[in-house]
Formats: sequence, structure tokens, C-alpha cells
Amino acid sequence: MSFIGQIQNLKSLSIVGLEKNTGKTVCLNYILERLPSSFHVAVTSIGIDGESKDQVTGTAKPEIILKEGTIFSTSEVFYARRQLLSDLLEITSERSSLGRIVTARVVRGGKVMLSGPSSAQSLSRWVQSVEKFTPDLTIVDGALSRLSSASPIISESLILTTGAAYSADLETLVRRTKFIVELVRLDMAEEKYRSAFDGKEKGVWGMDSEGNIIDFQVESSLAIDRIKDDLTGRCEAVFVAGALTDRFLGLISDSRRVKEIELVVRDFTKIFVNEQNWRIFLRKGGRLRVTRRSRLIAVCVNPVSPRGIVLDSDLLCKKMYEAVQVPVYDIVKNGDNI
Amino acid sequence: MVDELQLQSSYGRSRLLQSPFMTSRVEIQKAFTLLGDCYRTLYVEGGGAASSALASLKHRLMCLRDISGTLDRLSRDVVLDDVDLFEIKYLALLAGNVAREAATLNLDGVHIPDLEAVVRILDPDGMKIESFYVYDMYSKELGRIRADIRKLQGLSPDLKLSSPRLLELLEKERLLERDIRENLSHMLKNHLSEIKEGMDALGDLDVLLAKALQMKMMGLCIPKISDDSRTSYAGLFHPYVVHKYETQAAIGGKKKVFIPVDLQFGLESVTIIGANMGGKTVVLKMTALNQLLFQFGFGVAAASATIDIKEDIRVCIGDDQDLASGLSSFAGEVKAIDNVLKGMVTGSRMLALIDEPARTTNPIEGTALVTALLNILKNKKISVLMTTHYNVPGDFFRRLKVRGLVDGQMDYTLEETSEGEIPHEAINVARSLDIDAKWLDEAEKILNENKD
Repeated sequence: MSFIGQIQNLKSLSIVGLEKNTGKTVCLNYILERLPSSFHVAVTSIGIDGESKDQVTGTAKPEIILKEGTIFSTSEVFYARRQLLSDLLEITSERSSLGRIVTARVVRGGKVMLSGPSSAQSLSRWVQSVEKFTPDLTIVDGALSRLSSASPIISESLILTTGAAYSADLETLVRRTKFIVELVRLDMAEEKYRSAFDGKEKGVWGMDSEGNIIDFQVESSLAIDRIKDDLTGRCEAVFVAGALTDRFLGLISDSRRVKEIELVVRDFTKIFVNEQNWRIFLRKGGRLRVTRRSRLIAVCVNPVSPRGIVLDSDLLCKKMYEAVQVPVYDIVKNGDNI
Repeated sequence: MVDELQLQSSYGRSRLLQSPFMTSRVEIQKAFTLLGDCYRTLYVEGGGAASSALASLKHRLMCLRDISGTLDRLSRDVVLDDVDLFEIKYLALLAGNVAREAATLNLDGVHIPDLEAVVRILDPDGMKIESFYVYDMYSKELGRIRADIRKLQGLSPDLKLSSPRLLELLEKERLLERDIRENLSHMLKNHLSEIKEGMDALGDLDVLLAKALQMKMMGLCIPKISDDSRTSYAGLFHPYVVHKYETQAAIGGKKKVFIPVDLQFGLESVTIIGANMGGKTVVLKMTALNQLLFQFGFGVAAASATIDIKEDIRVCIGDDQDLASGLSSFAGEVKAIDNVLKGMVTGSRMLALIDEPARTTNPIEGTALVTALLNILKNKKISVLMTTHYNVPGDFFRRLKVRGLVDGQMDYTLEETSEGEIPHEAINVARSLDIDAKWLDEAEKILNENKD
């Protein structure tokens, strides 16, 4: 099935760039342009708070081109600057530094800057609240370095954009992207662990062989000093509700029972470990699972970096595909054929 | 009580917080006629149909938003933008829908201003859809320009800004839209006061419905306004304590029942004496609460009530010991009472509720202080309820006594009593609390020795 055809079967989608200038906006505009006009999209972008780098360098958020019938949410300030004709449908209760977030339907196509809700929770609320306007698909334009905007609590599926701006060396670029993809595609935890752990909002929890739930009495994995070494003594599974850190992963890696323990996190956006520690963990036989996952639809690559480096597009796509095993597209070069 | 109100909108809450402490008989009468009618219609006469219509009405009120900011801009002749215009249209449509639903519920006293004229300004197509943009309908020229833009732009939404003709049209469109918004703002300004009244009326309706629901949930009553300066309660209860008992019973705790009491007082001083744990302080708290509920137009926590309107309520209950400001219990207390005396000088109609004045000092001076206080308050045309353990001489005030322990059960009934009758039940009450018997036996022995 074609890239666009596949997208038409989705209900919700996040697009996240691994670095600035990896072609996230190009990718979003590509999708919005190619979707048939009878297919209605609701779209927003993570708030300006999320895109702090843009604020620092003073460059504006990129403009998105929207077609007639598209529903979009943006801040009051950007709404006033829109270059399209739109029917205002709702003033949401979400606020941002650029005023309230408003939702409108495009009457005559044109350009608009999007700056919607700025946290994973509020984006998740947004997805639910635009349901009443019955879009066929909701798209969240995620922020750089804010993978939380790709959380499965917001959308069921995901497109990653990566490219020469992330790393100028082809091998490194592929390796680092593959690492992220591995995390995105982690297997689901067993059903008994999911049902036991999914409701836990914070803390570190365990489950023993009899199914008893153990509370390690710490607020987060940052406080692991208080747990020390008996953590894995009686557990078959350990669940970290908040961020999974290098130190915590190291603690499990160093345990004699590393092979017997299933380490569980909510989803890949909660994982904050470096690649080296991750490899050590895997080599020692560690297992990491998630309670919720999103489907990775494609990796889009941009072989051009803003510093002038241009990688070989075909080679990059080929190497990347071999590494990640999901469709890889260079939209700028091959946009008409995918 | 305010926190327990189930309001649908934050504007309802801000209307509630703005509502005044009413002292005018006409206003209070009006408020209770409205609340009484509303309660009767919804919960006494109303059946299943009423409750589903009510649910839908409440759902509408959830959409009420505070648009004071927009209205303020309108009053200052600022040209409103699409977001402002949307807010006003949304409110005007909401007012229409709420008015219709209130009418089907027969809420006769509820008046929502008709904002149909405002709707017509912002809804030229008559679609009654809650959305807004500068519609083609507003100007023939705008419609023409937009049609031309569409033709030039073709199907691609990407503006071909290289075309000077398109640029020119877009600029024309922008200027026309600006003129239309200016014109709309101008027209809306003529309706500014109705719009504001409409928003307030919706907020007030939210408060009214919440008050009626609270009456049903807590078993509150509509009070009568007293004609003879006398206040009288039958079946007075404390909603918070009742609620606590009910939750305790519901989670399988010890079953306790709150026993309502009757109470009457006029412009006079009334002392309440009686055993410890006899509910004396609770009587003061209930009286204070109900006076406030009455004058803020809430249902009152009693089976029935006739209440005198007061201009001032002073309450001295609890221990005012304050280490930070260096006040001992005694100092805190006399300061609070001093406050009552100072307030009295203004000559306003006052209700003063004083819990065991001078209890933290020795009984000899304490009795003198309380007697003197009652002397000063005598003939002052204010209502004073005061609990005390002291035996105050004199017949210039009324005495009420908690009936006390009867067959080991506390009887909370208040009855008139005469001078000198101070109950001696402290030891018996302490026994019912499982206090160390050695201590209590010793105390009883000392008492008996003193008698002999």
C-alpha cells in the first residue's frame, strides 16, 4: 500500500523530528497535500513552549499549508495572522503563552502557523475534543527533542523524521535512528503486567511469581538509592511509572537476576537512557517492555543538513531500511513515487 | 456550603461570589420566592421528564464562559476580532437555547434576556451554528472578491503570491473584512447591556439550579421572613455533621444519628447551659450558618424556619489562642468579645453568638465577667446567644438548658429553665467516654466530701 494510502487507514498520527531541519514540516505538508480532499484531517502542533529553540533563535514556526475542510487548532495570536479563510468553531479551555487555543475549519485554503497545546496530557485532551468535529484523522506535529508529543496516549501511530541534521555521518545517523526505532518498537508487556501496572501514576513497582504487587516506596526511579540491591530479589517484573534513567537501567543490568526480570515502562517516551547502556542491558539478556505502544508508520529522511552537507539519498534510504525494517522515504527526492 | 454547590460554569461561581449579603426584606423575599418555585417545579412536581430536561439545561450551562474581556473591549470601541465575535455569538445562541429549555421546565421566575437581535447580527445566514467568520453574506463585494480569489488560486491552497492580481484581491478582502468587523462591533455596542445582562442571567440561573439541588440533597427548607423580630427554628440541624455521620454509617462505621433541635429567640440575650457534649456549641454554629444561608438566599438547614433579618453577625467560637501574635486563650477570647461590644455601638441589628466567654480563667472572675457582659447587652435590641458553664444570677435574660443525659443517652432538646440550675454532669459524660475510672472516682469522692 502506498504511503498516503496507509495514512488514510489511521485514526491518529504524530510526526516527530529527531532534530531540527530533518524535514518534519515538509513531511506534514506533503501528507496534507496528498490526502484526498474528501478525507478530513484535524491538525495541531505542539505549543511554542515545546519549540523553545525556535524562540531562542527567533525563527518563526514553519507555516503549514491547509486545504479547505481541514480542522486546525492554534493559538489566538497565530489565528489572527492566518493567511486563509476559516470558520471559528471553538475556543478551547487550553491556554498557551500565545493566548487561548482556538479550533477552526478551513473555508478557503492557505497558510497558517500552528501552535497548539504544549503538554502530552493537553495534546491528548485535544485529540479527544476535536472528535466532535468528526475528522477522519488527527495529526499532531510534534516538537524536536520532545518525544513526549509522540506518546501513545496522544496518537496510535507515528512517523519519525531524521536526516543529515541529526548526524552528518551516514553510519552514525543510521545507528542513532535505529536506536530510537528500537525503543519505539519495543514489545508489549504481558497482559498481567499491563493490567497491574498501567494505572500506577508514579513510583517503582514490582510483581513476584505469585502475582503480588510490591511497592518500592519511592517517588521515581531518580530515588533509586533508597531501593538498593534487594530490588530484584523477589520480582519477576519491575515497573517504572516515570522516567527510566541510565542509573536505574544499570541497576537492573548489574543484577544477577537480569535475565529473569521483565523491566516495564509505560511507553518509549519514558525512556531516557543512552545507547551504550541500552546495548549493555541487552547483551546481559535484559528485557524491556511497554504497557502501551504506537505503530511506527515510516521513517522520513532528509539527506541535506543546513550546514551544507548532502548525503547520498538512495544509499541513506537503503541503509536505513536495512537497519530499521520500516518504510523509509526521502520525500523531497522521491515524493511523487511513494 | 458554597464549596458543595454543584455549579456548571466558572462564571456561575463568580456570580455567586459577587452576590451580596442581603439585608433588604424585598430582595430576600424575591430570592426565596424564586428558589422556592424552582425547587417545587424541579423536585416536587417535576417527574422524569423534568429531570432529563434539567440535565440538558445543566449541560448547556456548562458551556457558559466569562466574556467580560470581550465586552470590555466592545465598550471601549475596540474593533473586535473573529475570536471576540465568536464569543458573543456563542453566548447569544446559548442564551436563546437556555431560555427555551427553561421555558419547557416552567421555570417562571427565570428571565433570560432575548439576544435574538445579537444573533441576527452575527448569523446573517440564519444557520444558528456555533461558529463564526466574516461571512460572504455581509457584503456583495466581499462575496465577489472571494469568488475571484478562488478562481485564481485554483485547487491548490498554496498561495501563488507571485500573481500581483491575487495579491491585490487578498488585500482588498482584508480591508473589506476589517470594515465589516468595525461595523459589526459598532452594531453590537448598541446591545452591550443586554449581552452583559444575558451573561449574568445565565450565571445566576446556574447558581439558582445549584441551590435548588443543594436543598434536595441536604434537606434544606425555604425560610419565612420574620415580622416580629423573632427567629424560630424547628428541627435545626448541621448539614456538615449530618453528612459526616451519613458517610461514617455508609462505610460501615458506628451508626450515629443527628438529633435536630428547636430554637426560638428575639431581641434578647439567651444563655444556653447544659452538660458537656450536649451540643451547645453546635447550636451556636447552626444558628450562625443558617443566618448566613438565609441572607445569601440559600435553603436553610432546618425542618422549618422563620428568621429575622440582621445587619451584622458576630461569632466568637473556638480558641483564639495565637502564639504568633502573643495572645493567650483568654486574651484572644476577650478581644473577640470586645469586638462584639464595639460593633454594638453602631446600633445595627446584630446577631451575636458567643461560646463560653471567660471560660479560660478562674470561675469567680469568669462569672463576674459573664454577668457584666449580660448586663451591658441588656435592652440593646440585639440578639445574643451565649453558652456558659457559669451560674449567672439575675432574671434579665432567658436561660435555655440542654436536657442532658437521660438513661445514659444524650437528649439534646433545649428547654426553658430558671436561675441557679447548672447541670453537674461532667463526670457522667466523661464516664461515657471511657475515661480512666480511677480519676473519675477520685473526683466524685472529692465532690461528696465537699457536700458533706
